[in-house]
Amino acid sequence: MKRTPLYLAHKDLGARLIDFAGWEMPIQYTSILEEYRAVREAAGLFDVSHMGNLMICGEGAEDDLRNLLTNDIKGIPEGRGIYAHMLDNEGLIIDDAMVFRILSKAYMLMPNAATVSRVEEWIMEHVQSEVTNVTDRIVTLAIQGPRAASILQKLTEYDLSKLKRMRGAFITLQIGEDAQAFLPEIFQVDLPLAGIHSYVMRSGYTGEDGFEILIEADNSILVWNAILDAGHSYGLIPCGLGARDLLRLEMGFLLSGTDFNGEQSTLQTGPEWAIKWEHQFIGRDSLLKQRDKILTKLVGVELLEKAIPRHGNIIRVDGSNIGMITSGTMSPLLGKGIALAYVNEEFSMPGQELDVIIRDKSVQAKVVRLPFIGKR
Amino acid sequence: MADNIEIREDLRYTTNDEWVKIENGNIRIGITDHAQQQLTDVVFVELPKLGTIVKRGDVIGQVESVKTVASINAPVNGEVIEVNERLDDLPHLFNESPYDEGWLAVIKMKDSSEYDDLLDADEYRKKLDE
Repeated sequence: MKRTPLYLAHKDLGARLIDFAGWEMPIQYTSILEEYRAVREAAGLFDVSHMGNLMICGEGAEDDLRNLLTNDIKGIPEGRGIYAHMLDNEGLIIDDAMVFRILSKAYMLMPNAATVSRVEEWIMEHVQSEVTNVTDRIVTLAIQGPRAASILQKLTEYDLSKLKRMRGAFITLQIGEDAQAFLPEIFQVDLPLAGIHSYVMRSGYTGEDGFEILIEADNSILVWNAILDAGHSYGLIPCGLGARDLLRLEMGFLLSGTDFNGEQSTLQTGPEWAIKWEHQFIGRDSLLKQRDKILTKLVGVELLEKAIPRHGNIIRVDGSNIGMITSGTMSPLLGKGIALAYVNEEFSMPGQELDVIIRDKSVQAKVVRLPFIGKR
Repeated sequence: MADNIEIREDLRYTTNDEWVKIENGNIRIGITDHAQQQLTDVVFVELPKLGTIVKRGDVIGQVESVKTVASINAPVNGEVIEVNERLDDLPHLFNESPYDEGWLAVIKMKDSSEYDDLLDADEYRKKLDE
């Protein structure tokens, strides 16, 4: 199994490790619920280095990415990111990912751990620009929660209030005496006099304010410990994938490989805003053909009785099977069972009543709007 | 096996990680410390119904954590005569106090010799070490 450069730090913190897409990752340090609450109420720190980092560079990079992604990066300024789906020729989702324009002709795409190699191959087949997989050189830390900005601000002179959502910037973290560069051969940014150079994005997968911090693997333990120290008095704790899954599901964010697995299109999963029809992209023609056909759609489902929906539970209306759950949990914030599920389109409107079959018992539920917990 | 798992000497155990305590010819059951650690935070429980006649091995309850779900099986033949309804509102008692406040049910045994078939603390410890 692959390990991130922070593996030993996780072990020292008493993390329970699991296999996630071939990576040995912390699922929890102390308690999934405690870590969940830290992120909703204070702050949490995640190692998400299993996510991929693919650089697409050169004159044609913008056109290449426009052709590969459902959302349109045309003309976005440096330091701006978007969320998009990458489709195959049939319009089926290969992966969902963020892409940032880091420099004028250098973009970074961040695919999911399980799909990095598939995405890389797909890009290689379809682009002229230079593609570099820098996943193994980069550690990605996510600091998430209402106090994330105050904590990170302690470690940098950069005014983080200037960094808006889905924006990124090169930021020097005031950690250590030495100057540490961040991928200098790619970015050719001047070295800081002292401190660790990083690329910081105001983004995340939890619904809270927060940042995703890219650093070189060699500096990761210093940065990890510095953030834990800086955040300690703010209630920041290290958080694992268990809490991350609860947090993302309450927001209705998709989990690659679980909520889509190569057999669904963006028309089924949404979000609609991730498709910009005005530009040409791979899979667009297939999507247009699908538009008028009846499809199953991914919806939010809330249980009206006490129970927990799980991946694979069947959904019925009037005794007929009309759908299946892909992700489910007990929402700590709502105190209710919530799930993402594919249902036949005619039953996909908010308010639609459903029965979820959990261990042979029928549990009342209804379709609700996402996010489950409202806009944060 | 991790050293931080509590196994009580005065209890009996099943291979399915339930503990069993004998009380006046009845048995009180719950899930072991090992089981609750494996499950992680318990957030929901399906309790057995009072008066249910159970056969050894029957599923009599479900414990769900944020991560997964586990069945609790009847360790003996008998009848459910008491249920810990506090768990409905306080499912985390399974985590905080697996051997005391987190008990699940009391079963009146049909044949008290079945208690002797259960694992003792040493046998359970050995099973966990495997």
